Order: sequence, then C-alpha cells, then structure tokens
Amino acid sequence: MKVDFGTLLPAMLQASLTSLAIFFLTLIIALPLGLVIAAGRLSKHKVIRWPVQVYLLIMRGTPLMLQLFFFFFGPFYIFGIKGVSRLAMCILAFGLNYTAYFAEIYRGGMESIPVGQHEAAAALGFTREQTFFKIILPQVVKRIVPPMGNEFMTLVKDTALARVIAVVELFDVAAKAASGYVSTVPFIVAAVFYLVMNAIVGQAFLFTERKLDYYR
Amino acid sequence: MEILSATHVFKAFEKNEVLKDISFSVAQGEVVAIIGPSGSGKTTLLRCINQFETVDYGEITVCGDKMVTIEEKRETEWIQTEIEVEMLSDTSAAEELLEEGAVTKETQLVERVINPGRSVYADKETLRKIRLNIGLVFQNFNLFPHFSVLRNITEAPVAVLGKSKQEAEAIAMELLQKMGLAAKANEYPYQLSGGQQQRVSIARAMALSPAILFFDEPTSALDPELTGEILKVIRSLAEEHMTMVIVTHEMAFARDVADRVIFMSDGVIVEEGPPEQVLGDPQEERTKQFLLRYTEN
Ligand SMILES: Nc1ncnc2c1ncn2[C@@H]1O[C@H](COP(=O)(O)OP(=O)(O)OP(=O)(O)O)[C@@H](O)[C@H]1O
Ligand SMILES: [Mg+2]
Repeated sequence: MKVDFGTLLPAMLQASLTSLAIFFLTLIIALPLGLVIAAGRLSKHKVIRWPVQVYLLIMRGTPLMLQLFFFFFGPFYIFGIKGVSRLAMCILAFGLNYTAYFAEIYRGGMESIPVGQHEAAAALGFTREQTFFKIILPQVVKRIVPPMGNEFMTLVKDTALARVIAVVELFDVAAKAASGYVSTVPFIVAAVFYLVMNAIVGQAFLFTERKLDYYR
Repeated sequence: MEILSATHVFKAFEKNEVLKDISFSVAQGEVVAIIGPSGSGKTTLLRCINQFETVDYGEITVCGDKMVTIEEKRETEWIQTEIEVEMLSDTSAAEELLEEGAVTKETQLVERVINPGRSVYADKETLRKIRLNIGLVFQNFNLFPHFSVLRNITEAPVAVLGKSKQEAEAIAMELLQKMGLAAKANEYPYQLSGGQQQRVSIARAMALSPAILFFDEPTSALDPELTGEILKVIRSLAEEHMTMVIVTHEMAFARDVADRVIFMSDGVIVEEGPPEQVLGDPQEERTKQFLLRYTEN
C-alpha cells in the first residue's frame, strides 16, 4: 500500500509533540530532584542515605518498561483508583527513573571536586549555601556535561517506551502506520525525527561544553 | 597583644595521638615558623586552629575570642611501673630469666590519665567571627578554577563581608599590584604558573584583612625555582608586620623571616625560641637530629 505522507506526516508531527512533552517534563522533574537525591546519597546520616540507596537500586536496577506498567496499573490494582491520566503516570515514571540516573551523575561530579575547594571556601568564610552554589555547583556542572549529554539522548529515544501504556507518541504512531500501510517507510520517517531531535540535543551540549571551556 | 593562644591542645585520630599537650601563643606582628619532621602534627595543629578539625582537649583563643575552652580539667598521675629491660612477650619465661639474674627489672614513671578533661566549643556566631580573623594559605593553593584571578580575590569580600564590588576590586587590584600580578587580573588560574597561583591565593586571603595568616608549606608544591617569589612575598608581609604562622621545610627562610621558631616532633613542641637559637644552637637532642638530617640533604 502506498504511504500517504499527507496524513502520516501531520500525525507524526503531532505525536512528536507528545514525545517532546515527555522529554521536557521528565527533565523538569529529574534535573532538580536528582540534585536532592544526590545530596541524600552523600548525607552523613544513615537514615537518609539508606532509603536513597534503595530508591537508586530499584530505579536503576529494574526496566523502565516495568516501572511504566507499575505506575500505570498500580493506582488501580493497589488502591482501586480509576481513570489516572496515562500521560501523567508516564511522566511520573520517567521523572523518577531519570532522577536516579541524574542523581548518580551529580554525585560523581560532586565527589570529583577536591576537598581543597570546600576548605578554601570555608576558610574564606563562605556559608555552606554560598560554598555550594558559588564554588561547587558551577564546577560540578562543567564536569557532568558530557555524561548528561548521553542521558539526554537516551531520554529522547526512551520516550518511545511510553507506547507500552498506550501513550500516543511518535513511535506509537509510526508503528501503527507501518502495520497499516504494510511498509517500513513510517519507521524510517520516525528514525529521521528521532535523529533530528538528538542532533539538536547533541549540538546544544556541544555548545554548552564550548561555553564552559574558558577554564580548566 | 596576643593574637593567638593555644594551651594544652590534644588531638587524636582514633588511637593515634597526633597533638599531645601543645601550648604556644603568637603576639601581634610576630612571625612564627613551625618546623618538624613529617607526621609530627604541624598540619593537624593548623587545621585545628582553622576549625577543620576539632580538638579533643585544650583552649584556643583568637583575638580575645575563645574558640574552645577547658570546662573540666584534665587529670593525670605519675605511677611507677616495672618494665623488663629486655622486653619478652612470654612472661613465665621472663620470670625464669629474672630469677636466674639474666634480666633485670627497672621502675619507670608513667603518666596515667585519670580524667581526660573536657573542652567546649564556642557558639556558631563566635566561631564564624574567629574564622574571619584568620587567613589560611594552602600548600596547593586551592584557587577557584572557574573564577578569574580578580574574582578569586573579590568574591569573599563581597559575599562574606558585604563590601561593594568596586571597593573589593580596588583592594584586589592593590594586592595584585603588590604581588606583581596586576596584569593577570582577568586570567584564569590554569593560565598561571604555580608560583603565580600561590601569590594569588595569598592575595585572596589578605583581601579579608585577617588578623593572623597561616601558611601550610606554601612552597612545597612548587618547583624549586619558583619558591623564591613566594618567600619574597611573605618576607614583604613580615616587613609590614603581618602576624603570621608558617609551617615550612625551608630552614634558611625560617631563620631569615621568623621572629620565633617552633620545633615539633611526635605531637609535642620540643623546642622553641629565636631562630638563631633553635636552628643555630639547638638544646634538645631531637632538634639536633632533625637539623642534622636536614643539612645532610
Ligand atoms: N584526617 C586524618 N585522619 C587520620 N589520621 C590523620 C588525619 N590527618 C592526619 N593524620 C595523622 O596525623 C599525623 C600527623 O599528620 P600531619 O599531617 O599533621 O603531619 P605534618 O607534621 O603536617 O607532616 P608533613 O610534614 O608530612 O606535612 C600523621 O600520623 C597522620 O597520619
Ligand atoms: Mg603537613
């Protein structure tokens, strides 16, 4: 069957918006929350560190697909709550999952900052908050840009998983079109869409890396 | 006037007693050099005074503010114990040998702690005030790599002391001028040599106008040909009567710049006095041994 680009392309563009929504909303949750979790992971107190470690283990140790199912069916199976929004649960699952990965990247970044930086700041009378936001965090950001770039690209591709709980995103539309037209063309079109998105992400990170290149 | 006084300071890491009853003081305008073998506790002493470590016992006062005070006095007693002249782990064998007269027992005075005493730290406010009176220059500079040279120096006066940016920059430029680094104000630390970085870090500490400045081996991380420029800066600070405590392995420099030299070994102050005396005519055996090893190298 001949692929009708006139209907396929608008549908895929529309679905891409959903993919982008998952992408950006996940980042809005996971970027700040990851910082909090990283702080918990680095806490001196066992009562904080321990639950955080369990959280990290679960989120990084089980498939994201499983987590999506869990968050989608959990409210009904466990609490009998019906009618939860697919997209909301999808974003919650993605957000909590990526929080774990970001937290570990932040932690690695923080641990790579020499103690001397903390001590020099303390000796100069900076408060803990000033030390973190003025001295430590900017240096952490520079160090985590490359691993973060990887995570962002993975996230773009991972949004395709949302279709397992019937969120209509780019890959879902492509897969349905492919079986409808009995053609691989929709897959190729979707691939191009993902490539374009990741090319932009890649460029953004390259730009950021260059911008932070003024010091070593 | 006394800027710093430390009395009966004790500090242990687990079972390792690093500072054992350290007492010394520094008067205004005085330059004190601390020398001693590796592991003698020099850095630990500086870290205790700079609040990076807490003391187990003792009193530290900076510019009249009590950082830590003795609340409960430490009590010890001297007891006589018998020790084998030849140490033997097998006691029954030792008894036998003793009967035969092969070994002899001797008595020795041993200090036993009855009460380790207790010291309490001041409240946060006071500790912070003390911190601002103290400047510290690190062995490996610890400049902030993401700040320009100028910002390294101005950030604390602005953020901590609440100075205006203009005022802080004026002070910073004056200090950089003195360090011969005015042309480097807008460069980043990685663009400077070690000696230049260390000079910036001295300027950074000076920008807060501390009452006393501590140096922990300020030249140890530098190539030998770069140590001279740092020593010159410290000498010029001494000429301006900056109160300073300098941990150093540069004996010639200590002799030249210090008003007083403290020799530490195994966590105690073995000997202190004017440099000519401690370095030129040491009274204690341990000081002599240390200096001898030094002149050999
Ligand atoms: N944070 C720490 N934890 C455990 N032990 C420590 C710590 N810091 C220092 N020590 C121990 O304390 C002792 C004194 O160390 P310190 O660094 O004060 O010596 P130092 O006189 O500065 O030596 P150097 O001339 O090598 O710098 C050493 O035995 C060291 O192993
Ligand atoms: Mg040391």
